[in-house]
Amino acid sequence: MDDQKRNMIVRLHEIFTMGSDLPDELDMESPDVKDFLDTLSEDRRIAFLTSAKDPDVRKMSVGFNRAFANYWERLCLAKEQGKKTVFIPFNCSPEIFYALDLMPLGVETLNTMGLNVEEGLHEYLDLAIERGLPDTMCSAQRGVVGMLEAGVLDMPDFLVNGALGGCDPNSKIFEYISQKFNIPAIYLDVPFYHDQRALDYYTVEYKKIVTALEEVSGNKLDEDRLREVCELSNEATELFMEIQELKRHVPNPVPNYYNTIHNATKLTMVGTSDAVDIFQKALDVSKERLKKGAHVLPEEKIRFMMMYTGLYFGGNIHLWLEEEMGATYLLDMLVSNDHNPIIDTSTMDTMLGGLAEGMLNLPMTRQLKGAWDMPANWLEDLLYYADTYKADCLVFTGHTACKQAWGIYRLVADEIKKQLGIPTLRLEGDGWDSRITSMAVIKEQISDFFETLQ
Amino acid sequence: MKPLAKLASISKTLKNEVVTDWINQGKKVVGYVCTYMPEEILLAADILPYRITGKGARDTSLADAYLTRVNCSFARCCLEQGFRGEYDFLEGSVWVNGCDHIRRCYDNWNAKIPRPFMYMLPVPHMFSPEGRQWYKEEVVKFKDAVEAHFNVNITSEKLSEACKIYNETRRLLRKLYDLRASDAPPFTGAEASIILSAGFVMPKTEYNRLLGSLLNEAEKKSKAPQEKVRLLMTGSLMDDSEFVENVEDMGAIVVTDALCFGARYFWDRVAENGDPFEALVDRYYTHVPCPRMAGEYPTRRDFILNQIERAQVKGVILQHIKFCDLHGTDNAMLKMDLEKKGIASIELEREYGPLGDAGRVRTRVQAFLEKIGG
Amino acid sequence: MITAGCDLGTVTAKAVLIENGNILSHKILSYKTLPKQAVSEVMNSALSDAKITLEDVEYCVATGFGKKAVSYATGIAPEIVCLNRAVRFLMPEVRTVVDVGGQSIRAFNINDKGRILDSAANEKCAAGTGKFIDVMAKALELSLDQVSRLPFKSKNPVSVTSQCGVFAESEVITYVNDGRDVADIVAGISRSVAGKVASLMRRISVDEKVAMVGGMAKNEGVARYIEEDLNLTFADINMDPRLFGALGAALLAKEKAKSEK
Repeated sequence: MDDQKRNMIVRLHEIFTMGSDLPDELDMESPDVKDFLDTLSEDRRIAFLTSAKDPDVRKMSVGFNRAFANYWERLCLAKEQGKKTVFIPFNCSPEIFYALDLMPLGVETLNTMGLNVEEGLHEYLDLAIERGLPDTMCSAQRGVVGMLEAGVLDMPDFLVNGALGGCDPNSKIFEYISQKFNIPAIYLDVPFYHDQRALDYYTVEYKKIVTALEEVSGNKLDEDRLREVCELSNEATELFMEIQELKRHVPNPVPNYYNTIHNATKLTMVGTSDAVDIFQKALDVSKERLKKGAHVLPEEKIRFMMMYTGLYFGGNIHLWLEEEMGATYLLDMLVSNDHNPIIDTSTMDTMLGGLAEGMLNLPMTRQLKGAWDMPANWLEDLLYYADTYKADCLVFTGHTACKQAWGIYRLVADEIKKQLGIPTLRLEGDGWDSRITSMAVIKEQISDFFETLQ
Repeated sequence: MKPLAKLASISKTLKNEVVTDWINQGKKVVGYVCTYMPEEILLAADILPYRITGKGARDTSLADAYLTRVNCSFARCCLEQGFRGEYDFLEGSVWVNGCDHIRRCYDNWNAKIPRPFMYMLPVPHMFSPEGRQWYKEEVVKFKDAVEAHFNVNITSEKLSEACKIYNETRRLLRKLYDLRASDAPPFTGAEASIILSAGFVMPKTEYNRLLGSLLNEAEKKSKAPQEKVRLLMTGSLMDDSEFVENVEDMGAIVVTDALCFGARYFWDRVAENGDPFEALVDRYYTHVPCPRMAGEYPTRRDFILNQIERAQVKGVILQHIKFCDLHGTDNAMLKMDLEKKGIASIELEREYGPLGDAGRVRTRVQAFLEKIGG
Repeated sequence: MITAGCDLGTVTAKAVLIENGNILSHKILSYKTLPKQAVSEVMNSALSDAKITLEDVEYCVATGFGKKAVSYATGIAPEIVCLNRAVRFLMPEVRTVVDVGGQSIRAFNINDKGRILDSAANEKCAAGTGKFIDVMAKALELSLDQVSRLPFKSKNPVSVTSQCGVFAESEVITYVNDGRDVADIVAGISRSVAGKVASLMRRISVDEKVAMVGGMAKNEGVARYIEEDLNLTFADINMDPRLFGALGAALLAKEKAKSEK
């Protein structure tokens, strides 16, 4: 069968299974490895090297790849095993679905990982538009819509959306999927503010979602199972918080690629033991690196943060940043979880409350709802992260669909300059579509910008 | 002056003659941007609610430094007029988190050119009992803020009175739309757009008088049916009679709509029995939902189907301002559903204000009208 | 120590040679289709004027759109870094710089310590650049000099509203066919270009003193409209505004030569 007509999840499962077999020792110069690299497309090659070239990074990648291989496999087998699949956006924590024995599929995670299955997602991005979706809708979900249209992705049993008030395109696309493909959708309203009243409102809404999920799935939420999931989630939180602490060191011992691992794991797997293993490994490796004095070689020239989304196409830029720019990627806003609360596991009520609070503090929901100058909003978080992690500069990807971020970029960048004296660079790159601004141009713009800092 | 001409004159400039009169009487004008803002609260405080638009913006050169080319041209034109001082006659403005674009318009306006009374009224994105409770609490806070800033007391009686006045407006506008739905609509869609536009920027008592005269005259007009293609228009906000004129120029007449500058603004009334405050909250929370309300697409679609039947509509114009994802996506869903029902529709992407491209619109509409047959 | 800077733009190639803070020679060369040749020629010409050879040059930095194609350069640097050096050297009181060249517009702030604070550049669109003026001049059969001075004779500038340079050309042709006065047409074009430049400058803070460099700075009409739009007066420049990039590159070359020793 033509490769392109095969199911996307099956193909991802294959790729990640291959990636689980990375040996401890890998000679990049050996003919075997070189031959293998030659079989890969440019994006896949870069992605592979990013995750496997450095022995420390490779150690992190093995477990990560294995966990994701399992994850994609469970999705493949869900129907057979009578498990229901739920599409969720990235600002929807996965724990509750594991507790309810449902399979969550993170739309943006699939969209991002799908980039390296072929050379980008152009075919699916375009197909979604051809079949009706406006072209200004976000490419982070659009690829998945295209996959559904093309029949390379099975329809889920339901959809849960949690971006209302944080992002119009993200919330509207779920309504579109629901209407077009006739899939029930459950919505969760996000309040404007970030105070106790807002949290109380959100918690009630969250509990209603849980009830709705119980109803549509026919699965009842068991307190012990929920406790198990929450405890695992808490373990993961504590581990990645420790890794975050390590990033404060100058130079930073945590490799750039860790951010990708963190992102995918936090969005899709927390609540499972796999997530704990992934973060534990990453912590162990990073601590070792700190001891060895390992960091971005040969010297850490630039410490920077992406102000909002990262850049996900072209095999991503982590390796180029480390090897050619001497730049350490502290984090991007989608990996900003420093304010993730620990869940109180005493009762069903406290656990649901903790999960709700966790979700209200997920990236985008936390920072881009409400007004720009509110507490816990984008500006305040950027000031916190830039200061805490000692960023030299900030880069705004300028993802084309982030209208809510673009609309206050100027206010925020000016304020950061005023308060911290840190310069910002505004790109116009789409995070998932290489045709808006090519990686070559983006690299040149970033490189020129870095030069102005010397 | 004949009523239609008077309404046209009022809607032409931002600081029109009735607004000037109002201000000369020592009274205040407060702007607003969204139909989820309960106007009666302001009227009860003897304040003139004034719907902010980007009318008259010649370009967006000042606004573009803050809002960007991926933000909708309506939001940019509004901000531009703000920066140019055209809205300095407002004591302030009440905003709603209607969509990302207008939310950011507020952020920039509040940061750079705040007037003495700047208020954000956050509305839930869903219908639910908790949502209604939240909305009610916000409206209470809003009322308190108005009372504090303007040093007034908004009593239940004043509110009741204001609701009656607004209900009269709604009744008259319903009547206007009934006439438009008839075999012999007395007004073109462009004229209706002017009639509606004027109402947003003048005191409702005076508007009701003008509307009353207008409708009386209209009823006396000859009832000869016309041959033009009957259309419904829906989508992003539409305060531009020239755009409607462009659409109608090729042999069509817009006889009804589902616009927030049209039917969705006035279709529902405030209950006149019981507590006026509760009635106000109910009406504004549940009025024909905007695409921002999650999961309410079926309600809006059914409203449109109802309008189509009511007004014997032959074709639907699904327009949206570029980057308006809420309406753009809604229109995409409507297109699919209308097709299933055998109703012809056309999707039109447009720009608001000075960037609008009339030529392109005419070409596309012409092709559409030919397709559905005159 | 003698150092060199060359700036290979989309319309001209520039070269500057300096020694101990003095400009030995400078050259500007227009080209049509052979940038590599142009950038070699312009350097040879500058060297010849200074009566030296390439061997006498300690370090050469290349900048501009074609910087990677300069075979004789010791190193390369972004345009904005070079402009910063040149402005600091010639006009240390300047805090905002706008550079409008053949196809690029960029603007940046310099803080009191001389460092670049904030910058903006045009992307994906050449509206507002020299290219646009060039195309219009040809369409109207005027020299760049005439285009520069005609707006001052205009009584009633036409309105050029198209966002896109290509569509704007159609607009202009319509005005020509309508018999509008050529001064009014050129004034409309110049105002449109000035509007784009001002718009970009508004993306950063415009702090006095403000300097305009690059080829478009020689267009008095456009420069005057920008000043009106932003309510400012550009600082006087005592050098051909097209040379700033190359001069800055030469100054940067001196820094790099010293630090590499």
